Order: sequence, then C-alpha cells, then structure tokens
Amino acid sequence: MIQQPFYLRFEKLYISDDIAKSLAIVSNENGTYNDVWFFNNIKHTKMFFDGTRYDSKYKGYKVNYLQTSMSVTFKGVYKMSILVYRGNEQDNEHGFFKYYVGGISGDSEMHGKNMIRSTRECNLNFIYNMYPFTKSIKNLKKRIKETTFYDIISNSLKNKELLFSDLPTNIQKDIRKMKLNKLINDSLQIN
Amino acid sequence: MRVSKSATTLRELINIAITNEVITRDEYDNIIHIASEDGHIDKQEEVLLREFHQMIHDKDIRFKKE
Repeated sequence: MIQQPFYLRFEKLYISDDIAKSLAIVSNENGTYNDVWFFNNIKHTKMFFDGTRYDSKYKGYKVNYLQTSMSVTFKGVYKMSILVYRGNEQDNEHGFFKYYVGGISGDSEMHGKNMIRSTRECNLNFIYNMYPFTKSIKNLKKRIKETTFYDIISNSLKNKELLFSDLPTNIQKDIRKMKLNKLINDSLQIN
Repeated sequence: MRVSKSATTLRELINIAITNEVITRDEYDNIIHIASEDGHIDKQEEVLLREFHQMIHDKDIRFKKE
C-alpha cells in the first residue's frame, strides 16, 4: 500500500515525489502540462483545469508518460482522470525527476467550477482509498477545500478525531517532517 | 527573509533522524554543532532544535545504544 501522503489546497494538487514514483507507469508520449516546482521535496503544481494543458508555453515539451489515472464521476455526469507524468529533466540538486500533473476530462462540458468540484471529488476518493483512516475525520470533504492534508490531519489529532499512534508509520514520519517545514515557515513570517 | 543555510542543513539532518528513528551520539553532537557553529542560534534553528528535542523526549527519535 502506498502510504506517502499527498496534499491539497483548494485548486492545487500537492503530490510527493514518492507517491508520484509509486503511481507511475513508464511509457513515452509528448505532453503539454503545467510546470512543477519544488517545495521542500514536495512538488506541487496548479491543476490543469485552467486550460494550461494546452498552454503553448509548454507545447512540445517531452515527458515520459509515467502515470495513470483515477476517475471519478461527479453527479453521474462528469468524469476526469488525474495523470502524473515524469519529465525528462532531472533535478540534480535534489536528485529527483520533475513530475507533471495533468488531467483529462471525460466531457467537453467539464471546465470551470465543474472541473474544480470534480477534481475535489477525485482527490477525496483518492485520499479515502489511500488512507482509509481519513474516513473517520469529520467533514473531510468540506475541510479539504480550505486547508492542506497536513493541517487536516494535525487538527484532527488535536481534536482527538484521530490518534497519532494509529497512523501508519510513514505518515507519522511525514507529518513530523512537515511540521519542521511549517515551523520554519512560521518563524520566517514572524521575522 | 530566507532560510539560513545552517537551518536547511539542520532540517535535513533531523529529517534523516526522523526517518531512521534513531540517532547516534556523534550525529546528535553534529546537529548541535551545526546549529551553534556561527556563534548564534537564529530563530529557525531555535524552533528546529526545540522540536528535535521534543521528538527525543517523546521517544519518536531514540539514541542508538553504543
């Protein structure tokens, strides 16, 4: 079971390198997807629903088709898949390949708010599948619109909706590491 | 304001300790050395060290038996 977390914040999908690698299936294909950047070893990207899948800036940018799909149906009408691609570039500093997150709409009407909503549904299903313990978090669907996966887990721990000791070990470690990043960022803002 | 180089190194070393769940005395000494080698502990280093010691206190990170 894949236990690396991924993180959500409103219109962004945050995905860790490990999970991208775990999800990936290698083949070759051209792609035109958003850029991805590093944030403390977690690459994140704006999602594709703003049309950047067709952004000419990235047209012709070759990527290795690494990852696949998960589909969700939104109100029985809209379908989409989230795809994770591994780029050809390797970040020498971090030793990682760049990853690209893209999406495919199963419906030409799938855009704007519908896409956003469907993306959330897709993300939520993904989280439930990957982390069954999150099913015990109250109002996860609502809260996931406003905050990160890390914050949701942290707050759920504080509210005793979850017990830290019950979390998979890898997630416990990731939460500790993310807390370090958060402390640093908070201290920078105070300064 | 940017994160200092020593704070970045400190975070990486603590992350390794989190992953391994154990730390040797030498590794511990190295962390303290990096935090204090420039003669002062900045805010980022301070919060990292505080959290690091809390993890040791909570036994999330344990000292390796010699």
